[in-house]
Amino acid sequence: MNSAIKDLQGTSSLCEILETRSAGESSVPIFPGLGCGFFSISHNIPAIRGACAVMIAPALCAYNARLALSRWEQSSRDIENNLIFFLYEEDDLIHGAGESIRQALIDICQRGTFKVLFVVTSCLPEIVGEDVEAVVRQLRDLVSVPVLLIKTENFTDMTARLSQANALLSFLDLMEHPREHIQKSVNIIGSSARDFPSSELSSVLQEAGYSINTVFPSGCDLDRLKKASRAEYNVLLTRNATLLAEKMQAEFCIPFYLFDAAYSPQAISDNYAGLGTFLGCDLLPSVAARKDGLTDAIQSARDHLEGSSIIISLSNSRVFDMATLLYDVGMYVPLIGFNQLTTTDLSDASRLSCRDSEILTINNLSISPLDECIATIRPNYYLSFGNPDAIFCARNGVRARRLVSRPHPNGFDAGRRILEILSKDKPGLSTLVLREQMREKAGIL
Amino acid sequence: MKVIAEGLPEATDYFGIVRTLIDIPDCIVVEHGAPGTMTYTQLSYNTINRERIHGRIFSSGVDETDIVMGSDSRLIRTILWIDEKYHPSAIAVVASAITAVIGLDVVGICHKVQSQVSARLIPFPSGGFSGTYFSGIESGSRALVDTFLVDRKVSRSDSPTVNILGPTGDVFNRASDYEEIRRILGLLGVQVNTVFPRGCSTSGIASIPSADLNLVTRDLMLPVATYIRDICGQEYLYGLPMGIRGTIQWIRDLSAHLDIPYPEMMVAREVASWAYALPELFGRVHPYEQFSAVIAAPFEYAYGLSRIVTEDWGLQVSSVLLPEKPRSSSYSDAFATFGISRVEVDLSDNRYRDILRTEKPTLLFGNTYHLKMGKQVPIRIHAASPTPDLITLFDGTPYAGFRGYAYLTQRLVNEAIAHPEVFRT
Repeated sequence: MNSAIKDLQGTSSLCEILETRSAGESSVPIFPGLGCGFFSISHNIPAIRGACAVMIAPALCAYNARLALSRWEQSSRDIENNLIFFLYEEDDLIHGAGESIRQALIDICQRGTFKVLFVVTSCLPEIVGEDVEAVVRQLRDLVSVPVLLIKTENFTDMTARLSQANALLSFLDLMEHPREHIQKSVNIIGSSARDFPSSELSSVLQEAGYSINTVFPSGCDLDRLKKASRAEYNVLLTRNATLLAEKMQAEFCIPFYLFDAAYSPQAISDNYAGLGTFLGCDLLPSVAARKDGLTDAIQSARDHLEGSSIIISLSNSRVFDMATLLYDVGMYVPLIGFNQLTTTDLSDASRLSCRDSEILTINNLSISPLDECIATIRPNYYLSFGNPDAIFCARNGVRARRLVSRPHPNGFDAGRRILEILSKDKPGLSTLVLREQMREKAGIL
Repeated sequence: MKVIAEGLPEATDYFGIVRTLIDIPDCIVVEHGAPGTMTYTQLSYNTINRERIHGRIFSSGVDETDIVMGSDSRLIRTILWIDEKYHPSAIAVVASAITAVIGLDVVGICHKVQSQVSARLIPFPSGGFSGTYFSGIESGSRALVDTFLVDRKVSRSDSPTVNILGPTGDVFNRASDYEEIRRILGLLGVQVNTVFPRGCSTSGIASIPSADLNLVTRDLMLPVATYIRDICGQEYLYGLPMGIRGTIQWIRDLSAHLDIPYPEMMVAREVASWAYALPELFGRVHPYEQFSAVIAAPFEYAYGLSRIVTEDWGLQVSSVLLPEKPRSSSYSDAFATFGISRVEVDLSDNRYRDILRTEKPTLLFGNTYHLKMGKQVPIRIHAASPTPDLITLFDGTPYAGFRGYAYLTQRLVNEAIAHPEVFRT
C-alpha cells in the first residue's frame, strides 16, 4: 500500500522525520489551515467569566470572529459574548488609531462591569506598527481594572499556538506576588476549571494529598487566578503554557511539569511516574487500577478494531503516541498527519518506528495532500481533532472520527476515550453514508 | 474606527467577492494572505449555509518574510499548483487585508502569470477596504460576466426562457424562495436558463444571452443586468415576487415583458389556494389590529415584507432598516406607498436599540443579530442573512411568491398564539 502513496506530494517516512527532526513544510496552498490566534482568542476569552475583550481588527476578521462566536454560543461550551470589536479602518491605517483606541478603551472601562480587560491585536495593526502596547501601558494608570495585552499576528505563526501561549502569558500580569507558597498545592494550566475537578488527574492528585489551587484558563475564577502564584507547583496540560510556566518559575519560583496528553498505557505511566518524581511522591501505585482499566479496554477494542487501518491527524498533541495505542489494539496506521515536533514527539516517533518503520507522515497544515492520501489508501478509519470532512470520508468508504475537545480527559481516561470514539459511529452517520452512496450511483457529486 | 459591541461587524466587499466566486463550480478562490483569514472565512461560510467548500478556496499562506520582502512567490506557486491540479476555468485571486495594505500588486502578478496557466485569472486587490458587502457581490459578478460572457449574440429558444440574476450562497431562505419562483415560472410555462451567480458554471454565464429576459431579484445585480442589456440587447425585469398582490403584479409585469398572455385562471387558482386571511385565522379573542412591525432586511426583502404586512395583512410597519443604501435613489418613496415614513440605512447598534425601545413593535423581521438585540419584541422572525442559529436548507418554507405569503401568514398566527401577551396590549 505504501508504494502507492509514496509518490504522493509531501509525504515522508517516519525514519526521515527522525533523521531531519522536522515536520517539514507544507508543499501546497493551505486549506483549511490550523486556525489563527485572533480567532482562537476570540472564542477562548468568552469562556473566562468576568472578562471583556477588545479585539482590534479589520472588519473582515471581526465579522468572521463574531460569526464563529455565534456558532460557539450555540454549542456545549458555556460561553458568553464578551467581545467588543474596534474596526481598524482605512483612516486608521493612514493616520494611526492610537488616540481613538485609548479614548474608546477608557470609555469601555468606565461603563463596563467586567473584572479584567483583554486588548487583542490582529495582523493589521501589527503590520502598520500601531503601538497598542503603549496605549495599554497608559491605560493601566487610568483605570481600575487590570488590562492585559495579547498579540495574535498570524503571519508569524501559521497556527494559533504562539497566540495561545501569548494569551496565557498575559495572565502573569494579574498574579499577585506571593508571601509564601501553599504546601502541596498545584495549579493546573490548560484546562477548563469546570471540567478538571471530575478528571482522572484531579482525583490522582487529591488522593496523593495535593490540593488544586487554580485551574485556568477556561472558566477560571479571576480572584483565584490572582492567587495562582501561591501554589507550590504548576502542572501544564497544554504545551502552549510552557512560556507562562517558565516566567512563573522565574518570578515566583514555581517549578512546572508538562503532563503532555499521552494515550498509550506505557506513555501515560511514564507521565505519572515523571509527575510523581516532580512532586516527590510515587503516584504509580495509585494509578495501577486505572492502567489495568485501559489495558482491559484495549483487549475489548481488539474484538472490533484489530486488523483495521486508520489515518490519524492532529496538530498539537502526542500523535505518535496515539498511534502506539492503536498498534496496541492491533490496528495498522499507514499515515500520520502532524504539524509540531517536540522532543517528546521525537521520542514517541522513535518508539513507534520500532513497531512499524513503514509508517508515512505528512505535514497537515493543509488538508489537500492528506485528502489525496485518504482517497488513495482508503483506510477503515480517519481520526482527527479538527472537523474531518464526513462527506469526503463517506464517499471514500472511510469512517470519519473526531476528537471532541470537551470535556478533555487526561491520564488513562484519554486512551480510553480514543477507543470509545473509534468503537462506535456517530448517530446518523449511516444515513450520510447511504446518501453519498446514492449520490455516486445517481452521478450527483 | 468603529466600535461594535453586540451587533455584527460589517461584511465588507471582501466577503461579497469571495462568496460570489466560491459559488461558481469551476472557479477556485485564492486568498492571498495569512491563512487564518481563509480558515475562518470558510468556517463562516459553513456557519451560514452548512456547505463544505473543500477544494474551492485556498490560502497562499504568506509569512513574515513575504510581508517584509513584498514577495509574490507563494502566490504564484499557489496559482500554478491549483491550475495544474484542478484545471478550473477561473482562479479568483483575492487580496486579504494585510496584502492589500502592503500594496502587493495582485493585478500585476495575475497579468504576469496568466500566460502560464489555462484558467482565467481574475484579480481582486481591495482586501476588504473598497466598499460594502453588496458592492463586493456586484464587482465579483461583473468580473465574471466580463470574463465569460464572450458570445454576445442573442439566440433564443421557441418557448419563453429567462435567466435569474441575484442569488448568492448566503441569501436568506434561498432554497425555498427560488424554488417558489421556479414553481410560478413553471405554471407560466417559462423555462429557466441560467441562475447567476449561485451554482452557475462559467459555461452557464456564457449561455446567458440565449434567454428572452433577465429576472433581477436583487438590486445589486442591476449594474450587471444593465451591462448585459447594453452588450446583448437583453432586457431585464427587476423585482422579487412577495405577497399576494406583489406576486400578482410581478406575474403581470413578467407576462408583459415576455409578451405572453396574463394567466388569469392560473393566478385565480393560486390566490384561491394560498391567500389565507388573518380574520379567518385569528379568533374573536385574538385582537391583532394593533400589531406593528419593524423590518430589518436588504431592500427587496424589506420591500416585499412591507407589502405583505401592510397590503395583505392590513397591519402597520413602523420602521424599515436597510443594511445598505439601495441602488435606486427613490427607495424612500417606494416604502412611502405603504405608509412607511421611517426608512433608515446602516444604523448603529445604539440607534437600532432606540428604535425598538420607542416603537415597541409586535413583530420584528431581521437577521440573527437583529433578533438577538431585540429580545423584548414578542414575535421575531428571521428574514435576513446571516442566520447562524437557523438552517434554511429545506426548500419548503418560502417567503416569496404565493406560497411564501401563505407560509408567513401561518407563521405569524402561530407565533402570536404562542405569545398571547401580544393580544393584551
